[in-house]
Amino acid sequence: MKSPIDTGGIAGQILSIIAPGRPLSRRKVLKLCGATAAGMASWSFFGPGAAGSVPIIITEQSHGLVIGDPTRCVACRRCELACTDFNDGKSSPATSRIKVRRNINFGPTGLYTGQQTQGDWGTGLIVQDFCKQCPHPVPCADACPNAAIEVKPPVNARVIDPEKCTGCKICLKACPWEMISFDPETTKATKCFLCNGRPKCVEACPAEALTYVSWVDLTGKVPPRITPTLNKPYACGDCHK
Amino acid sequence: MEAVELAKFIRESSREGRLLALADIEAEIAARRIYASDRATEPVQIPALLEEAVLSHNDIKVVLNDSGDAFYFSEQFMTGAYARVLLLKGQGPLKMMVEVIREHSRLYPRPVPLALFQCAPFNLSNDEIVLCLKEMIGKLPYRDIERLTTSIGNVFAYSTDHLDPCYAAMLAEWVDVGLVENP
Amino acid sequence: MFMTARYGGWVGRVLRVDLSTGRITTEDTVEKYKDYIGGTGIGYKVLWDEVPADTKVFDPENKIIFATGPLAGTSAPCNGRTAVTTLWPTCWPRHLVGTGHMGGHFAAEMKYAGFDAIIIEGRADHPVWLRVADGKAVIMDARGVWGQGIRRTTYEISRQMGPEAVVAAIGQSGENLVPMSVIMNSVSHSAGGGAVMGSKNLKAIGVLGAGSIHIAGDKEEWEKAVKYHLSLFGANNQAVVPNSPQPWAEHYNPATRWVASEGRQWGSANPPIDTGPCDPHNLNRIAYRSNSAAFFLGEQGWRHTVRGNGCTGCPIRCHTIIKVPAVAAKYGIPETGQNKCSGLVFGKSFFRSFPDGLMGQTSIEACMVGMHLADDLGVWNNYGQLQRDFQKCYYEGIFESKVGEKDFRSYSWDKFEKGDPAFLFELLPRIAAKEGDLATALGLGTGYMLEAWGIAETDWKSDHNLHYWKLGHPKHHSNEDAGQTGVIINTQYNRDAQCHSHTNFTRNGLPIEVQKKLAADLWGSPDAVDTPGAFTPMNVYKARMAKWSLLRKELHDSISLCNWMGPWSSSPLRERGYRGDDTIESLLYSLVTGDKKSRQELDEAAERIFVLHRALTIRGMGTKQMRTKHDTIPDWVYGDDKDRVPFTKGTIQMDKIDIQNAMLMFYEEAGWDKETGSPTRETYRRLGLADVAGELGKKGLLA
Repeated sequence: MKSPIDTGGIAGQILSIIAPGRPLSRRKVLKLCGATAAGMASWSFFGPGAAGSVPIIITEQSHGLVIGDPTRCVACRRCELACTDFNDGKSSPATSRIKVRRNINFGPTGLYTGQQTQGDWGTGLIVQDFCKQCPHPVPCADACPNAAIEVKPPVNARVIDPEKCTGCKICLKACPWEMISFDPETTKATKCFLCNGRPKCVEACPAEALTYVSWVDLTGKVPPRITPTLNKPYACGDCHK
Repeated sequence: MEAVELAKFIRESSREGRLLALADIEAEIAARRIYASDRATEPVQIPALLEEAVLSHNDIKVVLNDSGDAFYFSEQFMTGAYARVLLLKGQGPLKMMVEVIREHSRLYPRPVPLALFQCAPFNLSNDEIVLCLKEMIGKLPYRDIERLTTSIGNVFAYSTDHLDPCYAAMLAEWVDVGLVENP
Repeated sequence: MFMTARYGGWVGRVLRVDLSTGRITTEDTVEKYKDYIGGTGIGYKVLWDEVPADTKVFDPENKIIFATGPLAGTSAPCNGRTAVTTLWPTCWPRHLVGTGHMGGHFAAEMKYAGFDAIIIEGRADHPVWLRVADGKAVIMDARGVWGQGIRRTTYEISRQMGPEAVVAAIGQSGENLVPMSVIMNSVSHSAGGGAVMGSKNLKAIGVLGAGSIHIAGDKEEWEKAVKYHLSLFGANNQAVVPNSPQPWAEHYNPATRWVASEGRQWGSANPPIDTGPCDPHNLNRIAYRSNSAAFFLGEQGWRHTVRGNGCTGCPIRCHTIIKVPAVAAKYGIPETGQNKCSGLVFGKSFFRSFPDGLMGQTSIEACMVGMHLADDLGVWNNYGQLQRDFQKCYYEGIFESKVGEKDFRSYSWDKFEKGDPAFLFELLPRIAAKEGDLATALGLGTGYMLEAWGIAETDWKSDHNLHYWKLGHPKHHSNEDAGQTGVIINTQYNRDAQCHSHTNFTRNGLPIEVQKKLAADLWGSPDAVDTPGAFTPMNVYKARMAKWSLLRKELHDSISLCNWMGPWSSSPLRERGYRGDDTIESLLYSLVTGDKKSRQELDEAAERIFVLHRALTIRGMGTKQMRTKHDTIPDWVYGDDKDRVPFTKGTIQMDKIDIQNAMLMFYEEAGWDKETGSPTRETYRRLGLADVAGELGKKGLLA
């Protein structure tokens, strides 16, 4: 959980060290803060991160990740239905936190790029889109003007706090893989929270096409779906060149 | 090895579809002894260990083949019926085929498509099946075994002790042709 | 506020589109149709209330209704079918009520788009398609896609709506009002009635929505119920016994569709995937149990299998995607195709033989060419009747004698006789285009073809190999599967019966003694079931099983459950004694809708729907003499090619007196008049159909 820190002195110290070409390691920063990793999953300076303000830095990695095997997916959509039926009490693939329906017919890009596509109308391959549970920088968390996306135990998934979410939808466009949905019934954004460590989509798949694995960083491996609209605080540029 | 470990090993093997002979268990214990630093199991202790495993675990069962050899499996992962199939397999392809043909003719009742014996766990080759069939048909110990060919050329076998030729032919044709023509 | 706000499942609105005027309105599903649940229930109710008996099939006054039920689009397993109800184009000699059932993703997406059903009426004055998205419907100009096949139509509409849209379209066949036409969505999922859409100038319906379906019950209860249901699942058509020995199985039966085993792989997956033993307790491997390609094409089907496919929410995946690289070079068609059952063998079934045998490479190529053509042109096979008629007409010289010489000689019959799949490129497009006498006649459907050529229907009714039953359609699981029960079921509809309630039990693979134990629980006595070929005389329990089968079919078609899988009358679980659960429908319906209905109460709703179908048929035929004029049985049911005697082992033939008795017992079970086979006034009243009885009474059509 995030704990606000009196960062007056520390911020100054850190900011004075930061210089072009001299990246600051996370360990160094934490040391400076005198904080333990166990005590703080993420922290921010001067209050919530937002455009024009300072970033949220989430240091705790997720414990797990749901990944998909496209050669096994049989396009039944039971994963999407389990996600929403059993978590929300309604059948709502449009707000499902694992996403297959958008790839079922023509594959991720096929419809507007030609006809030799994946999906039911092409080779049959179905790509399952899953939340990467990004390490820092977590694009959705960064983008949120209300710091509503946080790390949550027990598995450190990146979770939207509905109390803080105002339904502004900025995070939807911040995710390169378009994994966040806006639920018009709750007027909140929603994303994969790994069902607290027992993902219902994995449990529901009749083809063993989804697996819950130890977290690895796939953000550099899976092609993005969109060019995300970044809502990064300008100060990010100080660390990220 | 303790009885509870032995039970676990039997269960794992059953899950993989393996029926364990005494020799298999001895080999496993010997293999573990090489790596284990704890109490070793002497060969003379193994029968006692097996008896304990069977008595104290409801799912651990023993079956005997015709020669009186014992085989072990867990009913949690393998049915007695499947264990019997594996037991038959150990008695040679001819005996196995005859017993299966007779059992199906009696129990269901139905003739058996010979292609079944190419499937797991029978895993016979076409040549082996043809050879066994030659050995069966018309020979005294197997005089109840008859063969028939369906209209699309597939061979079935049945026991006349339980099925008459007319009924067997109709059932074979239904399975081989009728089911596909009535999808 | 809609009344539906009280219930889950239904999304609350039925869309009504008048193509003549362009007027689009909506109705409250629950307020108007709750007693009919959905699906065929809504379809029959609309036809009864709004389509007069003398309406012809292609009149603008005919209506076509696409309807789902409260379970469609939810996590309820096997909920993906859309019921399509209309006056049936191939029903001969008059177009009576009929339904088709289209799988795929259309049903779910229609509900996410905000509608439980779509009623199409009237006729547009130019080709149109209907765009249904996020609660709104718009009639769009289809002149750009008219004349195109189903595939191109789907691509073009999808490009306008987005990749998640589901498109139900007709091909050139439906456009040309060929009665033997289908409507298709999601590549391979078809329903008859394509010509009715064509007659309305309606090319396609595209549905898309980000809506949701409310589950009324507690979400944890719902999760438990769904998992419980899945625990009872077998393989395709609810086979609960594998077809080869498996470690977990007490029984095995080479005849079943549970074909998974160690060593059997999805061979064209990259890399191949082993199906393995598929213990029934492992709910994550249900999709590997079945393989239509392997079942219908033989062991070589495994080599070509990419994966299973099918409807929204179904774990079974009874359609198979197959890859046959050779066809790309040989015939210029895509190397992947997909379908199941008679759809899969559409092309193959025309041919008597192939150069390399009936199960060789050429036969698979014929399947691929057949699917490629039929599923794009939108040609229907009438459950294989098209192909059986074709063979008879060719080999007995009927084509040659009835069709003009020029037309006959324009076909490459040498290719056909040799078993060259390329022949299909000549035949199928011509059926779709009504080109020439031969193709036009085949496209009429059997009844109208026989009439056009002056052939007596009795010729067809006496030939066992033709499978022909009545009204222009074949049998669908009759005595060969289930003796008298199957015969009764096949008398009740105006097209092939499309009922699998009975065969999902009789073909479950269990030994007869186990089946009899289960039958005693389900229908009152072990005598309700026999093994095929060892039939016994009729008894009241078989009549109960027949009634149960018919009612459950209508229930599934209305609630949105798949009657090709349900009811779940048995299960693969030894610990349950292989018992299924006959209350599954009640459990799922009550939880989803919040409308608690017991099994008996749901069966009563199903009976209302079934009897309304009966009333529609009576009114359409203009007679109450159903027993003699509608519930007829072809002569071949009573024949045997080896002159065996009924009720001896080895014959499936029925006995005439016994069947007469069977029909009377069924009428009694149904509460119908035994003389006419028509529902009595009391039965109509009991089911809340007193007004239906009133209208029939005025016309002299009441027993």
